[in-house]
Amino acid sequence: MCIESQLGAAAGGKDVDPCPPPQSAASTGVDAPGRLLGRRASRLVSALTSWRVILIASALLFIIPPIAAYGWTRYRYLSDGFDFPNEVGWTSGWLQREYNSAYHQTTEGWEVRYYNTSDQITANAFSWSSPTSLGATTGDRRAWCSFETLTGAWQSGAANCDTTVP
Amino acid sequence: MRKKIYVLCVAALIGAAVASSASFTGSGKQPTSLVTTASLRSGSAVSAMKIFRSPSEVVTANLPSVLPARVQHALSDLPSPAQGAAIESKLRLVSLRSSADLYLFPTDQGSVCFVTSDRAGAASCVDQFDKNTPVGWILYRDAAQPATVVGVVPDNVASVDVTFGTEVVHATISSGAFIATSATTQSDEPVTVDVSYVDGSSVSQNAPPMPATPGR
Repeated sequence: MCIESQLGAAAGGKDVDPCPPPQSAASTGVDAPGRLLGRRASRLVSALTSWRVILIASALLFIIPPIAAYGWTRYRYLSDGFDFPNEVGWTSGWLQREYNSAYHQTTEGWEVRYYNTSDQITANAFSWSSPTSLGATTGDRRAWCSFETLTGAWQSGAANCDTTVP
Repeated sequence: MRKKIYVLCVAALIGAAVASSASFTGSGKQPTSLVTTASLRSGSAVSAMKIFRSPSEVVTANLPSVLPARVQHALSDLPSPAQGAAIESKLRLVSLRSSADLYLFPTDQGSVCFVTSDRAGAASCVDQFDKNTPVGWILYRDAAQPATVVGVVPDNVASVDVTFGTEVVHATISSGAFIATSATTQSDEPVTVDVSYVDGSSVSQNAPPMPATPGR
């Protein structure tokens, strides 16, 4: 659309043709749909470089790398107490684990285990010293921990078992 | 436009820096510390092990330039809050055998933690050595290896013998660490750790039978 007054003002009052004839597609090398696409691309670039988008992108660039670096978070699946042999701790699902650690009193022996999806034990460890801990798994595992008695006597106490979730 | 690109780059750089820090310290739950052992509780485990007094007193293996992920996790996450924060500058590597060397480190509360370098990554910490805890040890199994007992010993321990069922294994002790691996045991058998002190006294600790792997 040609608005004569605006064009005249923009030209500084010089004697110019306010509404030159439209150039043909052949003279510009761009057809009508191409001009439409060009305008849309221009609007898109303009929108993408708005400050709002820049700020959102900056926030994402700030947040994503640390999340990617951690890759996992600590997860407590047995908390505060146990009442052996009624209670042992285990995770509800099978996931890649970075460790499985039982924190307990040093007068108690504790065991930690990993189970595969076939419910077979793939690794286990026992210690009197705290924590009793195993390292990373090579596949998806259920983490498990329990007080271990040498006498079969029931016992209660305080303990926590921690593992990781992706 | 140039200012906007600058803001994006700064955000990305800060994010990468935080990521780099995170990947080294694991979850970063507990900050590491360079606190000296002067403030340790009396009778702490670290005071009973000369391996932490001076690097020149004992021979340890050179630390790798990049620590295994399990060791990084142990430094940041293994000790409980009561056991304190790991002192990374005193991390030691003791060569016990090719498949399972042992990393040792003290905490600023005087505990000593250890973690194996093998696939199992078994680990624990000792707060103090006494008759109830003559040595710090952990018994572990996984599908790739038989039952193994590994741990740390104070300077006044002369020998450690581990009995897997009926099989007695004289533990290899080196630079405050020891290891004993069963040659044959894959079955559900009790384990006994017999500790002899330099003064001739001895004490034993037991582990209950644990199921062999794989299986239940």
